[in-house]
Amino acid sequence: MNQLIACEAKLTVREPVGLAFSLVLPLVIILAFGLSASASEPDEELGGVIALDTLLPSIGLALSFGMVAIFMLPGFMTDYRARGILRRLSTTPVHPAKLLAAQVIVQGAIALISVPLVLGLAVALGMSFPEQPLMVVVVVLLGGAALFAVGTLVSAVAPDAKIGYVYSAMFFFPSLFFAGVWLPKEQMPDWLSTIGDFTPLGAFRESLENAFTGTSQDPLMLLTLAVTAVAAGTVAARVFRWE
Amino acid sequence: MIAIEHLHKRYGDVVAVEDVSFTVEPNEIFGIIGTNGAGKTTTVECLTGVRTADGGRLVMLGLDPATQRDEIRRRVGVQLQSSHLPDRLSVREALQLYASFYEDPRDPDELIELLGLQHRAGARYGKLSGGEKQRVSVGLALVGRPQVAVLDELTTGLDPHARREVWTLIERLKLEGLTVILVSHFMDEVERLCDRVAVIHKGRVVALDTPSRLAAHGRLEDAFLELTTV
Repeated sequence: MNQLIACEAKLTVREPVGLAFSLVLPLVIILAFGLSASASEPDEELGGVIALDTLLPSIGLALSFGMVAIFMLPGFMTDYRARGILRRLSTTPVHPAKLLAAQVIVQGAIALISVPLVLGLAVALGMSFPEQPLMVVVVVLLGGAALFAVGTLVSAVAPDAKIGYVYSAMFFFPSLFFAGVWLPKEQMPDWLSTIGDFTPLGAFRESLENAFTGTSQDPLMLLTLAVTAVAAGTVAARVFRWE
Repeated sequence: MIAIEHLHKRYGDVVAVEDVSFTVEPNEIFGIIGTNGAGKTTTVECLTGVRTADGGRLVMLGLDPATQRDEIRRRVGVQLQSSHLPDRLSVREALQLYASFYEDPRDPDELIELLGLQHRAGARYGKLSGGEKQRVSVGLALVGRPQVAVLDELTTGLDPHARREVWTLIERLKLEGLTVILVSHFMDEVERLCDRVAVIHKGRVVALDTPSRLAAHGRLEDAFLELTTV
């Protein structure tokens, strides 16, 4: 198992474009928007909060977790299926499920690495230190579980990397919208904003914001994350095609 | 040691294997030849537990491939017709990885030398030539010190030098006690390596004998063409 993890880690590092999107892009976005003075002042359009305290770091983490869980993980797994690597593995004593586990561990580690990077950069630019650090950890784990379950589901059903990419994009880009990345949720009609609260990426980002500012969590959003993790994970386990 | 009795396998309405029976003795190199779609690959896939037979009785090393797949996977090395690795994994990394799957593997570096891939050990799989990839896939089948190796299209895509090197390797491993089931298109390969050969045509065994006796009245290729032109 350790050898598998080591191999998957090497292969991930050798895929620099994917790494750049998951680790560097969120930092670039925070840097680009966080450097402007308005990011550090109460913003009327955001309902009076400071973008650097709330919107920017939560978008950064939503982006990096989304990239890793929704694109990187299925990208590797569907490619492995299409190339017959899963099939080849099924003739050895090691079940291909271990390869999936190794991928989740490696990609999960990258997502976790992005947390101190994103928050570190935001704090360096003037973000107030998160009010509820423990709650940040809880939300990161819960949201990570939900997003990786969705990524595993894409890996389970897509026959090859191209189709997997289409599935991922169909999930991810509308999710970004509902999460308030294109248009701040404060400017959305209430009904639209409410839908966003119940999408995994939206609930993840919103719950992160609450943990940053010390606002009490909306239990429905945490429930959304937990239900997504369990439901997508269960379906993925049932329908995963190892050949 | 290995026995197939009346194997039957269909994919939906298509019959892949109608009725195949043969046995393989310990330390034998047993060839399976036939035209494309004759049922060769399906036969060995059922034998190794990759696919489940629809009918017949199968024994591999005294084990039932349908129910004792795990034990078979430990003791049988498989080379698939088209087996692939991630492009960015190096030859040595691939063999080390597969070695880690088994309890008592061969030394990957020794195997790299046996396969004649020393100069390519650090090269990434995606950069290898077709013949080099083929040798890696043979290596993956052998790295776990299997008792039985199932090799599907062993030397397809290899140049004449590489073919002979791989043949020599198989002969060496036979001296160490390896039993081999070799699926092949090539008459010269079967003649050189195999103790006995089954000719499969349209899902049935149409001939089973030593290569020399199959070719008793001329060349093996002529005998093969005669058997498989119906």
